Amino acid sequence: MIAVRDEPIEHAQWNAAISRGMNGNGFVAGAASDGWESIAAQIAAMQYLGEDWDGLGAYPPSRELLESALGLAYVLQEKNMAPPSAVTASTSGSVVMVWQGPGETYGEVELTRPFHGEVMIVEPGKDPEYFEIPNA
Amino acid sequence: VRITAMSIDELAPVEEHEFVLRRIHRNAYNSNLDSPILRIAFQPNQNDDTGLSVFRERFVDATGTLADIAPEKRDAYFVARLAVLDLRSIGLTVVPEPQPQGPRGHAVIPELSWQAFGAEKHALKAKQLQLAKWASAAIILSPPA
Repeated sequence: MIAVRDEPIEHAQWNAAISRGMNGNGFVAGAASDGWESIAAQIAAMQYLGEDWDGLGAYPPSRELLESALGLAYVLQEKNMAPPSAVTASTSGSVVMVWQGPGETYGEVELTRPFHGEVMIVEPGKDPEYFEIPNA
Repeated sequence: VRITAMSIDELAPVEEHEFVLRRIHRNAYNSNLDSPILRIAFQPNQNDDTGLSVFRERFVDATGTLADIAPEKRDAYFVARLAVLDLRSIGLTVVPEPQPQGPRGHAVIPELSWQAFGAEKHALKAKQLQLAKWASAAIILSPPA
C-alpha cells in the first residue's frame, strides 16, 4: 500500500484499466496476481448489495464506483502491489481496500466516488499520512 | 407530549464509568485480520445527522440492541463493548438520544455525525481506527455460526 505514495497513479492509467476489465480479464499477465482475483470477485459481488442492505438504512455502492474499484485493483496488480487484506463496502456507499501489515502498519484506500480514492497510511512512530488518488 | 419516567432516565447524562455497545455488520469484520473489526464499522453514513449510534449498556444488553433490525438481517451483526472513558481519551463524547421506537439506551457520538466526519475526515479516520482496535478486543456478541 505504501508503494502508492512512491509510484503515483494516473487517471488515464486507471481509466484504461477499467476498459481492459470490460473487454476481458483486467489483470496484466506477468504481474503477481495471487489474491487479486479474490479481491476482484469480492468487489464484483458488491453489485448485489441493495438499498438498506444492513437493515439500518445502508447505501449500496454505485455501478460506476464498483467499476472504478475494479479498475484500481487492476492498476495496483499491474504495479505488483500485494493485494489488500480485506475489501468491503461501507454503509455510506464507498468501497474500502485495507492492508494490515506487521506491527501497527496500516494502509487503506477508500473510494468515495468514481476515480477518487482517499488514502490513509499509518506507520509506527509516525503521524498518519493522507493523500488522494489519482496523484499523478 | 407525555414524557415518561423511562425516557427521563434514558436522558440522564452519560457518565464516564459507563460502557456503550456498538452494532457492527459482518461486512466490517474479517476474521483473517489481527484486528478483525475494520475502521468502517465506525464510519457514519448520510442518515447519521446527529452522530454515530451506540447503546448504553445500563439500559440494554447486546442482543437487545438488535431488536429493531429485521429478523432476516439481525444475524449479520456483531456487538462490541466500549468504555466511555476510552472514547473520552480520544476526544469523543456520548450524548443520550432515546428512540421511542427502538431499543432502550440509544445514544450518539456527535463528533462522528455525517457532517462532522465530512468536515474533519483525517483526524476522525485515525480515531475510528483506534475504535476498531478496541472493538476488536471487546466483541461480546457474534453472529450464529
